[in-house]
Amino acid sequence: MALEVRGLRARRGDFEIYVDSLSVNSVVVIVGRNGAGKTTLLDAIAGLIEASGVVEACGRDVSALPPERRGLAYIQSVPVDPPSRVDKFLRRVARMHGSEREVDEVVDALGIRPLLGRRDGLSTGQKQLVNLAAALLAKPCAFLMDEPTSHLDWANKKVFSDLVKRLGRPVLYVTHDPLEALYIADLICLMESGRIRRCTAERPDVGAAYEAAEALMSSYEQVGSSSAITPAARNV
Amino acid sequence: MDRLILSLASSAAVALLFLLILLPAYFVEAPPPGLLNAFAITAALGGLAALLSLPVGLATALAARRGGVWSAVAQILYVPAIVPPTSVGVLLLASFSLPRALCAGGIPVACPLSQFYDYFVNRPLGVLLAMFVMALPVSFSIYDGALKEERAEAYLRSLGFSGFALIGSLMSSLRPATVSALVFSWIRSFGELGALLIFASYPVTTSIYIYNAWLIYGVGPAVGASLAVMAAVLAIAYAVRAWLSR
Repeated sequence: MALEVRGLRARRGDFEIYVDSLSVNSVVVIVGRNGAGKTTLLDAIAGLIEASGVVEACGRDVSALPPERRGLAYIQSVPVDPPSRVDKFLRRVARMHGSEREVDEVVDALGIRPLLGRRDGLSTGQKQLVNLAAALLAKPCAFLMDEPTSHLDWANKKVFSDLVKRLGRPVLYVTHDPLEALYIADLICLMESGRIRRCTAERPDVGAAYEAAEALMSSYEQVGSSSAITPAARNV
Repeated sequence: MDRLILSLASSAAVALLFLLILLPAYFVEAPPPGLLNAFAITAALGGLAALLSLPVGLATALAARRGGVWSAVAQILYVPAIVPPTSVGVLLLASFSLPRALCAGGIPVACPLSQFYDYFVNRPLGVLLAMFVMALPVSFSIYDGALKEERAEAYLRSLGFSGFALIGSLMSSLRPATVSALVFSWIRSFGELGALLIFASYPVTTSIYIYNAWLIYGVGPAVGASLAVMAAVLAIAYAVRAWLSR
């Protein structure tokens, strides 16, 4: 089991979340309105706020461990600026978790080779891909993603969503966009008032809607300047 | 609305230009000797104090985000910004005088600590300490604001960064905040008078130098020294900021 949560209870001020049981082995999307407790849930699983209950990652109990030892990579809605040049940052993360040999593989998979020599001037979408690349190199048991596309334009959102679908890694993904949830999820759970109300694997195919939207935006991009992440990332 | 914004901004700029540069320039005379020395000492010790304040300010801002007792503990870094700088000088002097008083009062364990008075009061270490204390609220508040906008800590910790590696990476990732904290703290060290006047007036820094120029030589040389320091600091700060933000 990549990520298993049992009896997790956490507070943020007067607000409390409680999750009886949640298993993440594929792309599990938590949907819910603002204030439903989605980010609090991810923070509790990541170990950033105090929580009771059990969090297991790769079969080991990590409930008492600090975030840096849980093996759960946490992608934020506002992507983090790489602390150094992209290639140096990725190599550093790779060294911390094994060797640098996998850097090239990840870089090519995400199509970010043109970004390697850069540090400044990265677009929000490019930064988010660099964040994802570093997270992949950290070899986590699972990914936690908190509205990772909320600051991306539609084209970059589509690129990122497609990458998440093709990662083949367990992801606990939070969004308040139901269409996005339907597009990327293997399992969708609804969160309300700090509780997961129901989960379902049944969903309509929204691929056609995404294709139509992509065609629309492709026409638009020919008119305006394109800020899409990189052409290669589209073809992963 | 645009006209209102531009009017307010230009009014403030014009008012400061007249009050702090053009009108006083009528009195300007050559600064008294020692300006370069005071400037160099302030630049060096102020720069070091600003650098030292960065990791401490960032660590405190991170601790404050834990909430609970930590957010209360973090507020103590605002104390130097809340109380008058002269109070900070008095309080530092009192702290470093305490071991002497205790030693004289028959408490021998305090006697070895009384040496700190000689190392700090009216010494370069004292200037550094006073500037460091006054720089902390600047670094803390800038990093605190930056961390509210970007959850860099959550991301980097989840990648395995911890300890000094985490603090160093955060300082680098939050580069605009780091540059601002460094530059503002450094600039602030040139204007720090109250704490230095009481706790460490030697070696002479720019604020003490200008204060002495006014007391000893009068308004004209003090105005000359003030304008010279102002021009140099603004030029250096602008260049440093442009270089670090490139």
